[in-house]
Amino acid sequence: MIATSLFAATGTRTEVLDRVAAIVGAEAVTLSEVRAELSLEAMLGGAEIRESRAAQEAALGRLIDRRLILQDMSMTPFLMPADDEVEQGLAGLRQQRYLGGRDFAAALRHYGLAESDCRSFLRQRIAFDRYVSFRFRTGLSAEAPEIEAFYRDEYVPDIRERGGRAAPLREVADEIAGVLVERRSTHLLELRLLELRSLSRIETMLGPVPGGAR
Amino acid sequence: MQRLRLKLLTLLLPAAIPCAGSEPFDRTIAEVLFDPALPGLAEATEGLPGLQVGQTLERAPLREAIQALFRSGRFEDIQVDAESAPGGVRLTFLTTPAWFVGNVRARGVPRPPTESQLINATGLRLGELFTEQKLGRALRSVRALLVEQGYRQPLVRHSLGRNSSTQQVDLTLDVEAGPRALIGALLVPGSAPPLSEQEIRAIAEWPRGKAYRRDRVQRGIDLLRKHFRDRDYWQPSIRVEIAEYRAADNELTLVAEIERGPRLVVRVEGASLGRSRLQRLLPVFSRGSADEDLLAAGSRGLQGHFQARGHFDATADYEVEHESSEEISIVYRVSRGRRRVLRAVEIHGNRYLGTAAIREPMQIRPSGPGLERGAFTTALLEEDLRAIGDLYRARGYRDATVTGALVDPYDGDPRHVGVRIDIQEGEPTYVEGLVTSGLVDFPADEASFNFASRPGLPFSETAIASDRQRILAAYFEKGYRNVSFDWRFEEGSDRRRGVVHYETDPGAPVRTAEVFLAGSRRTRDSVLSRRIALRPGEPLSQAAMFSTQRNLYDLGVFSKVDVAVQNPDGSDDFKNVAIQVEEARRWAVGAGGGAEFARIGRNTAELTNPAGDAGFSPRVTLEVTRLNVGGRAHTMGFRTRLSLLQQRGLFTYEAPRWFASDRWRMTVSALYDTFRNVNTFTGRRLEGAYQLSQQINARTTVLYRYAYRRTSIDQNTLNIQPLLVPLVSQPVRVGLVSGTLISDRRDDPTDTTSGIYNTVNIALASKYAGGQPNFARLLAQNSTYHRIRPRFVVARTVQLGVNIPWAGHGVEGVEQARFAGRPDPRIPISERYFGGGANSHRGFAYNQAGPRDPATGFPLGGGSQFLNSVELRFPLAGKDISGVIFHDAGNVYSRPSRISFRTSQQVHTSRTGAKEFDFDYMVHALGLGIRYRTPIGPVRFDLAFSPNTPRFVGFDGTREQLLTGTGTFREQRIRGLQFHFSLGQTF
Repeated sequence: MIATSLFAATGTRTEVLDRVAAIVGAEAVTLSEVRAELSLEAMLGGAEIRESRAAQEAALGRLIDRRLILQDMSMTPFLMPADDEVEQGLAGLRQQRYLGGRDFAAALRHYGLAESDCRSFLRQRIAFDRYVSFRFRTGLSAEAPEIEAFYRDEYVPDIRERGGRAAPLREVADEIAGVLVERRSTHLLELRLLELRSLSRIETMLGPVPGGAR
Repeated sequence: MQRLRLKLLTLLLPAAIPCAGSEPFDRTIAEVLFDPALPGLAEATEGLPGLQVGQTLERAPLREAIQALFRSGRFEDIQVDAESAPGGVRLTFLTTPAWFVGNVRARGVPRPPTESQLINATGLRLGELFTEQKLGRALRSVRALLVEQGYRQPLVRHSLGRNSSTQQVDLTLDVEAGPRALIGALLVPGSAPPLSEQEIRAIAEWPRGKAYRRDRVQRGIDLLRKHFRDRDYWQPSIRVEIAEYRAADNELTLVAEIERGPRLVVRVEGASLGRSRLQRLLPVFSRGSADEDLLAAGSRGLQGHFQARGHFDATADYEVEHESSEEISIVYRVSRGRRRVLRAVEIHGNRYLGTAAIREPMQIRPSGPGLERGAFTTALLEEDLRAIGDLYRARGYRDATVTGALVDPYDGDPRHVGVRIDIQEGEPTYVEGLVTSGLVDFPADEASFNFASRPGLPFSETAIASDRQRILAAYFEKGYRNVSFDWRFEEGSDRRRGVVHYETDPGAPVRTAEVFLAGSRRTRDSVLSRRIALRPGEPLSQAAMFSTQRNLYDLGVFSKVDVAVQNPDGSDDFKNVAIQVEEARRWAVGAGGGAEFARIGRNTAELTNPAGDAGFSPRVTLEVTRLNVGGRAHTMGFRTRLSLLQQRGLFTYEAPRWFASDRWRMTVSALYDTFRNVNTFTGRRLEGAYQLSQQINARTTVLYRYAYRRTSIDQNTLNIQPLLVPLVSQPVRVGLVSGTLISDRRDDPTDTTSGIYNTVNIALASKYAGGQPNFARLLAQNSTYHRIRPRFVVARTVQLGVNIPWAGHGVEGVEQARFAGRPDPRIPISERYFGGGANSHRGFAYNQAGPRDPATGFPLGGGSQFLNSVELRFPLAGKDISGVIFHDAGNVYSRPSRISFRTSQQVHTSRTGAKEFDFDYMVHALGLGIRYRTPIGPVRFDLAFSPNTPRFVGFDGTREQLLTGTGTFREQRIRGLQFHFSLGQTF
């Protein structure tokens, strides 16, 4: 039905403003969210918006993962970030300079974003980080043999390959422990995402991307 | 020009900045449309902020609107288009409605699996969202189930029926399972398997060529397991898998991997126990493992076993003597100690709770009737101490401590022990105040809930749980499906007082949108709509859904009724309700058989034994029922019953819910009955009746009945003095108008332990009702049941029946009959009271009470009856066998004025010097009975002894000899000992 409408719309000069791009459980990810994700990615990365299909699919994939984690969070008594935390993050963004030396307001205009897009993004990112930290990093630690193995098998060869001089183990042990914990928590997160994907209804309906949906 | 420029930009820059220049955002919303325009949709979006006509269109509100609509679960896809319109921009929400699961049915399903197993395998539930993903999963599961059952190449076709008005998809599965695979080769891996292929086939009953079925494989595994267990191998590991399917032979090659595990040898020292009892007591056998926990549980089991038999000091320890991969040897050492009697269970220190209240939930009991040594084990004592502590805590005694110990010896007697339970109640905590929040939608606030937690009462978590239940139930009833409840106790300045806070979050109420009923082909809509308790616009209450399901089942025409919320996971506040029914088969045919064995005394030509002989009467029944006649949920039935005592054919037409009310029921019946259950005569009855039944309340029913019958007595079968035969054998027409009040307050009608049962029947037979005789009838019963101890019940009943004639039929001979103490001839013999038997006075055989013919001694029936019965019902052995001691007193009397409590029979001497016996006195019977509980009620055997059974004059000879005067008259007496075998309690 929607395809027919699209066809008919061409004749009557209608524009598609927004539509469902993916279904995650009982929720929808809209095309405008995909566009906003691409725009934010470009703005924060100091680049122009990537328009390729692959970029859109990657952005949609990230949004789906984020939605799955948010749904997972809603099952636990986990508090979403307060407004002042979000405003703090927004203040940080306001102080930055963006592509072409633009200030925050000019960058928003350039990328077709609104402050509300940034707020929504920041709110989700803070919640996401906090949840990952609480759920997948709590209680994780790296043991001395693991640190030694990482130092021996990865750190030293990597430094040498780049022509540098490896620091002694005792100096970098804490840093390596942090990397190992991060690696393990990422692995746990990936496992959880795989599980959530297998349990949820996920359908992508990216289709042709109309420009109005931003 | 402007439009051309816009179009070019759109084509050239489809994804970059397509709307520049004609950007719909930041323009005024002129109109919001929906395509298609589904009911309720526009209203649902009215509350969406930022999307109202006249507001400026922004991205974020639009996105939120799409997400909110999608969360409602009603759509599969949503798109929003914009176009210019006078005054701004027109928004159109293009939606693709979602589909929901409707009826799922399967055809051509071979058994096993059953049709319902196959439908369950789809995992599709009525009302839930239907997606292609779920359909694919359902089809895969169905195929997997068929493959598991041995159908290796099943073909499952499916067809979908979409109903756009209900948004439901009906799924029909057509199964062509093909031939079931056969058991083929059996591979037994390993160099020295415990059983050879032949042995496995023989034990598991898996011969080559037998059809492969999952239950057959499982049964074979069970048989193999049993084989090993019988040989003391209690931990066998048996895995059977399919290795290969040979399509050419349609055979499955199976692989059986078997390890028998170590042999488990268990000895018990210090006591002798049979093998089967040991297996019940020691979980190492049932669980097939010998870990420490199970071994310790075995010790406790043995200890409990002996303690329950009076060895209260019993101990049991275990030792693993030997453990290897081949054998595990365990010895349990039991010290039984002396066998004694638990004489008393003393409870000390209780002030708030009475001793009886504390004893009520306890399992340990001192010796008493049926409990020779008392009930005691250490585990039971611990459970009882916990239960008593919980009783106190539930009543606000939060610091209560309960301890218990065995008192040995008790009262200085070494044969006795006692249990002493000491309670330290502590001080109770009181509720100082109750603060509620969130109780919206209930105008009367907490007052309407009549909370169990109230200021001034002890603080009790049980009371809070009860209040919680009340609140949740009330909210569910109003459609608040996501209501949550929390409570907290806030201590006051005094630790013994505090405020209870009830915090309720009702969430949003859900209302009923539409109710869809599908699957009914023959039942009229008017019948169905009255049974649906859900109404559009009303709160979607769980109770109304259950009630709808029950009401539809109660119609008796559906074999399956599913009621489900459509789109249960959606967030919308208005939900459709889907009802899926499956009509039952309309014709039902049933046949049965049985027999009566008692002193039944049917009518024969032999007059020698008027009191009846022990006899056997086989019985055959046949029943044909037609349900849902005319789609009105009415039932038509024809029942026949053939036995030596009775041949009966009964046609009924039953209309429940008469006058469009659940409380009324109408029955029309026609009966043909040939009966010999009174051995005095054989009768034939033709009867038509119309009855209305009115349910006043759950306990009270009133029956209004008109019956018209024609009864004839076969004069060749009448065993009475020949002079009276022409009079008594006259066919008689009876028109009877009656009303019956039934008040049933029994807890269980088949095996009552408490309550009251009353009936009063008043009937009027009159020429104005179309009959010949004129008489009034009153029959009343009052029964009460009193539980005096657990499983000890005193039951009593009194029945009174009177017939009062006033004119008309059979008026001749009234005076003579009155003088002779015989029944009033104005009451036809077929309308008189007959009594005696398993469900009446047990001092008599079946229908043997009351006045008797002076010449033959056969019962004549009476004009009134009185019966008083008292029973003590008590446990005898186990849960299923109980005993009864009873006393029955009463009789059938010739007429109401002759009811007498006199216990001796009077004898008169006639002018001719012959003895004339008076039957109007009270016969007493004492007896014992045994009851065996079954799902359809207790099976019973009663033995009654009556010291004052009536004597009478009988006749030795046949009917012909009586006519010719060649037989002899002999004084007889009804036997004092009677036995009865029946089903159900006596009353």
